[in-house]
Amino acid sequence: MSLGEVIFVVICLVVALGALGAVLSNSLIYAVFFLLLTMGGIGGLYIYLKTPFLAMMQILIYLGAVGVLLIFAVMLAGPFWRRPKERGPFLKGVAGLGVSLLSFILFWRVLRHHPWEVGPQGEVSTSRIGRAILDRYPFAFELISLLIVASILGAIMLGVLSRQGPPKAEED
Amino acid sequence: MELFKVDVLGRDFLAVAQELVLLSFALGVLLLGVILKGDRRRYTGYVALFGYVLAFLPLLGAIGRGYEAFSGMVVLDPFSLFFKVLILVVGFLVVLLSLDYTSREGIAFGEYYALVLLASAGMMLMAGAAHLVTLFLGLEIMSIAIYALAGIMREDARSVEAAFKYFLLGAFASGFLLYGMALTYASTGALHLREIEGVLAQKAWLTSFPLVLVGLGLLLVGFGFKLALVPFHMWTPDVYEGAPTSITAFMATGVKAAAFAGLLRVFFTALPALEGHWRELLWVLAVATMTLGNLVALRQEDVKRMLAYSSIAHAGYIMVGFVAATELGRAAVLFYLFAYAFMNIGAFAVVALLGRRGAPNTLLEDYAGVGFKHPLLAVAMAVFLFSLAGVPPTAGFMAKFYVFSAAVKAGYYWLAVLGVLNSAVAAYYYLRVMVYMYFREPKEGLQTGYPSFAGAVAILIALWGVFQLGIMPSDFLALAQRSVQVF
Amino acid sequence: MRRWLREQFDRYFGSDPVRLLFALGGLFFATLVVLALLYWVVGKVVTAGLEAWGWDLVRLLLGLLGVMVVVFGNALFLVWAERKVAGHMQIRIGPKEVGPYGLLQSIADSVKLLAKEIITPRFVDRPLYLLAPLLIFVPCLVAMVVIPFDARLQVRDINVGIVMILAFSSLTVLAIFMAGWGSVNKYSLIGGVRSISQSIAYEIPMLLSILPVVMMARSLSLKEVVEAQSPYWFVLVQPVAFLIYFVCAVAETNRTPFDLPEAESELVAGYHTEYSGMRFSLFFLAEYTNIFIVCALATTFFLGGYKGPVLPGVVWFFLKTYALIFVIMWFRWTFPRVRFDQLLNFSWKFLIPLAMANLLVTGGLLKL
Repeated sequence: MSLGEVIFVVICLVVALGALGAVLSNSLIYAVFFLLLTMGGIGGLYIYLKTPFLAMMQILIYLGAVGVLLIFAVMLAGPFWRRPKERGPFLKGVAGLGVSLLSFILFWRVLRHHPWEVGPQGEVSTSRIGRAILDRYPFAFELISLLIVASILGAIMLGVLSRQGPPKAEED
Repeated sequence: MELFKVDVLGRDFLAVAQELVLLSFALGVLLLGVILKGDRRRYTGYVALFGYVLAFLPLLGAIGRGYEAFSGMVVLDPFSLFFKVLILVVGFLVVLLSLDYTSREGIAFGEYYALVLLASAGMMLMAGAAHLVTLFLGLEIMSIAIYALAGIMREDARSVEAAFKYFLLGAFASGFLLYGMALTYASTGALHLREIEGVLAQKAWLTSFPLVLVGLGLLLVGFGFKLALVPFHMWTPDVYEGAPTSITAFMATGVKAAAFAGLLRVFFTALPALEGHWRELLWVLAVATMTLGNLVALRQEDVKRMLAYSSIAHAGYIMVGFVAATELGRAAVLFYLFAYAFMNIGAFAVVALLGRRGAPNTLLEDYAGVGFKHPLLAVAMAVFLFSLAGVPPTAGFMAKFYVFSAAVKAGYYWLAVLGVLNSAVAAYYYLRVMVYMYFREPKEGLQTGYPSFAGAVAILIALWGVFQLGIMPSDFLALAQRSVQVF
Repeated sequence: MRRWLREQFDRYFGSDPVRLLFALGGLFFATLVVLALLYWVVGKVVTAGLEAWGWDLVRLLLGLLGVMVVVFGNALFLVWAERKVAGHMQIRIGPKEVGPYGLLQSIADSVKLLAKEIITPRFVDRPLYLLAPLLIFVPCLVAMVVIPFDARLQVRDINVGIVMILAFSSLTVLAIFMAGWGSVNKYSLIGGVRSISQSIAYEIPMLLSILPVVMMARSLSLKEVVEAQSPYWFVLVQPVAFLIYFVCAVAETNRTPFDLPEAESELVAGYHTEYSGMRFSLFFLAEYTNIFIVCALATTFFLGGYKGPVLPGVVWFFLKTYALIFVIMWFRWTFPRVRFDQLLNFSWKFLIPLAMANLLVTGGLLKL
């Protein structure tokens, strides 16, 4: 096993650890930070897929933007710090474990037996990604802006309009 | 190297011309909403209405064409045109219904109509998608706009609950859908629907590998959520009940039509090789959806909730045509969706007009004696309920007839029998509303009704549609059949 | 178990300054080695096959060592420079007792800081509280790796270097938030919140002002950006972008007039209120390193980097960088602190549209 493989395994462990922590931790803020750990780890995996640009984008977007947004939401949501540990019923845990095990076995078998083909080799350069966006997918690229417009509009609707207070009552 | 392969003036933009019209009106309405002050903001609704009318125009240039645009991202063919017209009609009726309803509820902002227009554009993109990316983006544009619309009545706790529930579960469903797309891509190496079909046809051994099937299952979960098929229907009653009535009508007809368009497109264009797998699955889903929807609807005391469960049941009926998977079956699905749009929007329009500010009057008890207080509304409601129950000579009857006959012709006798039995059960709860309207004494001191000219026009159009499709269905069925010949 | 861990912790990280020094030093070098390995692999994959493995590792370790020297040397210099500049601007002399012109003042300061007792308040959220001072250093080190100090004096030229710096610099916010939240102190928390909303607001125009430079240089590698400025510096063709970048840089480093996250008259010391001794000085160090980095980047992007006549490139680079740092210090004693709504409005309503317009014009002109 070369050093690269060792580090690959470490990154995978980080990703898994972060995911587990995000699910199992009983404090919301820890869950967020564990989630960010997972996201950062996925950024590391992108480097192994030879797309350093995507790796950096992953970090920029998920750690920088989404992570900060999540933290903001947590802070606005209320005092979750040192919340008493919630203990669900025993059966719930067993069911959760069963489902995870089942899906793990399913995916393990599915991925194991699939006849994978080796994709194109070599690093995916930034300019190739740029060309793909502007050559093949300009339409999808523009649609994303539409999606953002819809999201912003929705957020404004739900956020700002509620500050105006209830409208005047109807008169008969 | 040519950077933009977009044909700037020609066909590419014609393929999305209707969406572009709606989008420009969405932005225009948004700006207008900022400029206008106070009560005058409701005029934005009329502008939106005009936008829907104008969006019909590009149709003229697009009839009978069939090609892919934007390097294969969208497709303009009779199938997408059919759904675009359906979505435009739905949007038109919903805006018409909203005009007075929104002023009554104090939500007549430019943003409301902008979101309705955006959602319609997203639905159209789903109908015209030839690529999984476009399909997903269309679905998300539609969904996000609808999440916000569902929660637009911020003072009403149920509206907020509806938005929240719909958003959380919808985000989950989007995740499932995306995961399904990812696995489909992983197994076939293609995102374009025709390419997926090509790969699956070429490498037939792929169809027996479970990775493809897991992808198929996840896609089905994602679509099943938007369609409110039974194991994924839990959100429906609460969301339909809490959302503003005009938006409920939009969700029950527009979202469902768009999701069915996407489902038809994906399953019949890209995954026909897997038909053996998904037909049995959908058979079970169809029966479960019909049966559960109808049985639970029997016990509902709230008309909006009842209509929600009824819409679940109707999705089940539509699935019957889908399972038949013949040309007649697919045409029946299209026919059913159009008929359902008219009768359901009509019913919700009556529900909306019977309410008042702060008193939605949606309980069954509130309908006592409505037949005498508002005779015209009650007659319209009766027609829509008859149509939903499937009584001739209404559109609902013909729609059910085509769906079930398609199932019989495809050899699914049991499915047809179960469907007919279900319709018989369903008649009970539709008739129950009528019993309340005509045979119960009105409740003391209850004020119902809100005069609305636009709402009345919407109801009239819906009535016309119900009778037109019910009495002279053959032309329309032929149109639907021509539309599904693209598969 | 918990108690034992606590005891072990106190044993190594307790108040004894010598032990503490060793512990921190060890921790630092451990971080350094881990980072070195990480960079090595990243670099290995990115520029695969360019150089032999062994030489690469040595080169990286040397580079990191150099980076540490720059970090500490810069901090020592800036502590002295800040006091001296402040003094002269207020018609005082500033430090003068320790060493010639008070040059050794910052060494005395750091010894004082090292010897101070490290206090961990009882109710802090320990993991977050302890991680924050370490995490705040990651972006600084990453940025240092790709900055070209001279044509050949660069730890590693990564072809997505600009994106890398921007990506990692967003981690600073997380570290600041960790400190603010983990301290369980209202001043810290408010400082953290302010810092987050401030850096969200100013990261966008910053990105938008760097994009024209990338468009003109046609590369995301910092070295190629410098090389692209051969007839003239980019500041001459992109003055607006330079100004926007510089304003954002001041805001991102939480310097006056944008120092709301650590406004001492309102929030004691902001997010690092509850930190003492070496932990506090780590924040201090990170802050000065960040100032150096944003100015070094401004030099690289707009002022021609290491390019200049007669003198060697590295001298030019440091001259330009410290000139910009001097301007930032000048700001501090010139401008009063802005109000928070002014701060946000300035970014969202003025800087972002301006940067967008600048980007649009640049794109249009480049196409012509």
